[in-house]
Amino acid sequence: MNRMRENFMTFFSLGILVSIVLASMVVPLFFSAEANNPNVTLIGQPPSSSHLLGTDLMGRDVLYRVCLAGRTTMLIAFTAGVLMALMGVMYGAISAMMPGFVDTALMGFLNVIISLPVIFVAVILRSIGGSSSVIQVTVIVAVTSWMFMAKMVWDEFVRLRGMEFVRQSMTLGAGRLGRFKWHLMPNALPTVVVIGTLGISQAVMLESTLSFLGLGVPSLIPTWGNMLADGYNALMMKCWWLVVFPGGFLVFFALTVNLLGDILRDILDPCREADNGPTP
Amino acid sequence: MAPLLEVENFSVDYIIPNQRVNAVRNVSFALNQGEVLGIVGESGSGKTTVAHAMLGLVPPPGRVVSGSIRFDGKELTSLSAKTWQSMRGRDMAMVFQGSEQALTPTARIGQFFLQTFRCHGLDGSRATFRKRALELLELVRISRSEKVLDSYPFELSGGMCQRVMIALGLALEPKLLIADEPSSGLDVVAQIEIVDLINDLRKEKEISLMVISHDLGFVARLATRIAVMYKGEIVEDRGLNELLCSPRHEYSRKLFSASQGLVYHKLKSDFPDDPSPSYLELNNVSKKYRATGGFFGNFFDSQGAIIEAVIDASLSFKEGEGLGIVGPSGAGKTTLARMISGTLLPTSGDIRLMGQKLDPGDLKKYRNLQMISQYPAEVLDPRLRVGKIIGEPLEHFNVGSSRERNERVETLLAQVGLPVEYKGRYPHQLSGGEQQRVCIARALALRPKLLVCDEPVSSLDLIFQIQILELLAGLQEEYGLTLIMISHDLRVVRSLCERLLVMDNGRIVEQGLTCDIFENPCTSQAHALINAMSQLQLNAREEFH
Repeated sequence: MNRMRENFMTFFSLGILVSIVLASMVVPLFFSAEANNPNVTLIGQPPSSSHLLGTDLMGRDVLYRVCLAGRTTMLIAFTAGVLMALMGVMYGAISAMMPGFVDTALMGFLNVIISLPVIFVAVILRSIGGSSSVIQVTVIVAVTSWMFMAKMVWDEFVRLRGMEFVRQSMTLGAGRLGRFKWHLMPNALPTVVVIGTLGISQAVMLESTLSFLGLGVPSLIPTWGNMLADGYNALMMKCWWLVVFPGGFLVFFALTVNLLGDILRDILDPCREADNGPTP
Repeated sequence: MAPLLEVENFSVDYIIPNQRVNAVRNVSFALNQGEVLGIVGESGSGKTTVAHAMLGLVPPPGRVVSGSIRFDGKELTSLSAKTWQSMRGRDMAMVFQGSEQALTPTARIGQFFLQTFRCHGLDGSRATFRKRALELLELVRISRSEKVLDSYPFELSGGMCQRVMIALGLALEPKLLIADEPSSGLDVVAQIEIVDLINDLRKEKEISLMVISHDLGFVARLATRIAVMYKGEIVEDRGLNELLCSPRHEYSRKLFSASQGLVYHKLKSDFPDDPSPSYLELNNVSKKYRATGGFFGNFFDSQGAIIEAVIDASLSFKEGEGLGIVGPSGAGKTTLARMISGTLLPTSGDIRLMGQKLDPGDLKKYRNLQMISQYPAEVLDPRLRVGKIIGEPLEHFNVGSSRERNERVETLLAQVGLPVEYKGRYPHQLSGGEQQRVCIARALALRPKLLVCDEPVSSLDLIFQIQILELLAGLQEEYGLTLIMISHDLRVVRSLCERLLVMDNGRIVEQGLTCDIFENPCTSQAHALINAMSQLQLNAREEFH
């Protein structure tokens, strides 16, 4: 029974995720770039047969923009997620594998940066400027969220390094690198996957928060975040479709990525096969 | 008089997708008032499931599919969860396997008693409950019971926890007490103490008892009747003496012969006065730990109490010899083994292997020295397949090409008596005995000269124990392997080691040739161990009770 429900959830979440990704890739191809240009004659139209998801307050097609936004937002989220995972794993692993001064110093520093308010860091990084806004937002998201990955990886490594099979591998001739490659990393991987996928959905959220505060990507390049921020202003005029559609995409994307993380964790666990036979 | 407990045609299935496993099949037995029934069988034979079912605690996905349990004339299988709950503890109680894990680590011992009394709606003040709890602790012969009542479970030894569990079981004076592997995790001396305690309590309180164990020798000291379980069925259910005189089922015979222990093939040292230099030498090796005194202790008392795990251990022995290190738990045996194998640094003293001082930083020197641990399940990485596990040391030392390594892994598997297909399995798919074989294969991969075995069999069923010991004996003979065997149980050490070393409280209290110590033990510790061994070892001609 449980297995059936799990399979359904896997199918369901994968299906939604794949359709969001496909829609973002394919749908914009059917539009000309003009659909993103302001058009005074089409301001604030509700969903209709010619504009399936309506138009926004500048007369731009919402369907086109939501799908185009998907490309940018998912790019930001995945890149930030991978960056965050790499930074976190490296920092946490190095710290945990060098007990003593290095560990104390690294973890102490980590505690300091965790205490800095995210928005404060974002404002500073954004004001430094330089590169394009999409890259900037990606960096901001990664820089403000890798610490949790580092903490979790550190925790996991410290737990694992005390386990008997890691200690035993020392008597089998495993050095630091050997232990990392053979035992520590493979066993910490499920945590990394779960925190990583959580990080991806968090990145989407953070991106919209930044847009809301005017620190995100400008609305010329649509993202779910800045569409939501614009839509919020439009709520006064009862233009619900400007909030519901980008919001819906965002929520379903975050939800399915999280579910996918859980599924991946289960797939990576060899002991799950134990479900096939009891060990009473 | 009708029996107290009557079980008829009782079956439990484990229902999992696409599969149905008959864990317990058509089990029938009866238990009279004041009788002691022993249930023996290998792990996975369904004996724990039966015990849990008597309390209505069959764990999911298990399901009772047929049969009846009548307790005191009342049918139990149709009871509601609520009625079950009120019966547990009051009418029947259970002492769980692994008592240290069965007690919540965040609660003091006193709270367990309080909870037991309160859950069954007993009226009374804290003070009266406390008095009752103290009486119970004294009943199970815990001295300093006031102090124990205020301790946390992890502050007590395994034997103490077991006593506390028994006291908890007796708290509401049940008619039936079920003890699930009460001896597991305890050293032999503590096992004998528990046997004596249970026997005395039974006479005093006249309760009925169900004892479950894989160790026939242990159950024989307690039970008057024994049911042998094999693959979910009771294959034999007879009086103790009858069963021991003429075991009928093949499995009972195997169990019986396992309980008689290994054949002693090494009682005399092969080289009593060999002038060759010693292979391993320890000079005044000590290990101290600093205990921190709780949360505030860390702030105010940075020094903490010093625990001396091993004090001034000196020993030496020659290549090809077997050295047994015995002693009760907490004697410092494992600490000593860890220091010898290089995973733990001694606080003082030095360890020399073939005249060379061992340096924990230098892995090359440790190649000749491998270790086998007490808990095979814990030393095997759950994410690696068996083939990879056995090949791991070969890869660390870059031995041969990948094809040669693969061949070596296959020969090693054959050596420890496992089929080649096991290469692709994960550790959790193997039984405890098979896991220990994998550990041995891995330890042999680099062709070591010295094998340190830390309680190699104590977590295994008796039948597996004998198999592993036979395997080690074979390897010892074939390759001239030097063995260090650590155990609390002389049954394990006696057949493989010609030299013996008795430890207690971190000190080596006696050492010499095994046969000498057996004939003429000088210290009380050696006496206790030998006594425990002879009690747990079954003798065909012996009469019980």
